Amino acid sequence: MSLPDHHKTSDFDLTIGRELQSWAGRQHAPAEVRRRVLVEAAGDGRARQKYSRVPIAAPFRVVRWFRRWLCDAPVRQLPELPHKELSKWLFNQAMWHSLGNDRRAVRFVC
Amino acid sequence: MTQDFSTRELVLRLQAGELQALGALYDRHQNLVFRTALAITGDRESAADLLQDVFLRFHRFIDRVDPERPLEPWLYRMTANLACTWVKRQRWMRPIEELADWLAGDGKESPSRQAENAETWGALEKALKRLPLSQRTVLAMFYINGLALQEISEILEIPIGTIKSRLHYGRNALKAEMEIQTNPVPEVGYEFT
Repeated sequence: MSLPDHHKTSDFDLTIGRELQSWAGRQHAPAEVRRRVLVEAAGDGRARQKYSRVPIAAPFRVVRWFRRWLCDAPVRQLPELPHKELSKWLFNQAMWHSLGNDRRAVRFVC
Repeated sequence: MTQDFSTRELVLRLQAGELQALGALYDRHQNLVFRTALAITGDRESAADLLQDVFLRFHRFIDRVDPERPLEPWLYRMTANLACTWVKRQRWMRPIEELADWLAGDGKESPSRQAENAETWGALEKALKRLPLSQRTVLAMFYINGLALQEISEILEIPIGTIKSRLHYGRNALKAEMEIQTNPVPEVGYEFT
């Protein structure tokens, strides 16, 4: 297939191609992923996905929980902690509730 | 040994329930998937997650994979689709990450942000990351994976004219980005009179 002029190989094209391929050649998949894939694939005969990060949908639930929690704030008893610790506690609570009490998922985030 | 089998034989063995075949297929194609995901997302940790996701989906839907057809287009399509979805959703994730950092309140940046800020990404990677997602995907497939325009068109299920156009504009944007990075605009010194 013939390409229009602006698709023909230029010096810049060659340079970019070479540099991108050289960059890609230096990138290697982390070794632990192989083990994760095989373990998950073997588990109960079903491939159940587990991520090293929180599932994408979780943050929306976090926001919803925060909004609800903050609206009810006056009637709640906040623990007496320094600001930094209180912030962490609050975030932990939000994650804890929004992620369906999945301790493992919470630990990954917090 | 499974290493000696062809891809077709490995797919057939995996369809028969032999998990070792998945390991062999993973070994053969892991870098193809990882590099494509990394070029599109620009995030090493996410590329590793996507690599895992692609192969788990491959295992889950192995019965739908036709062993008589090449495997690479299937992997490219799945990788590109998942990576693009990840990038789109990341726009919503970022404010949450920033919120978490702010709540932690220690003034430090998250490890991922620190890694981004570190000089681990060269000018080329930074320029690539600034491109629109559609152009980045086509550029990654064209330059990194060395696919032909027709192949990219079939994998992404987009007309070849659109692929050409994205490649053209992506290349120009990449060129412009790199020129800016290598020849930054000099700061203007103002004199107060």
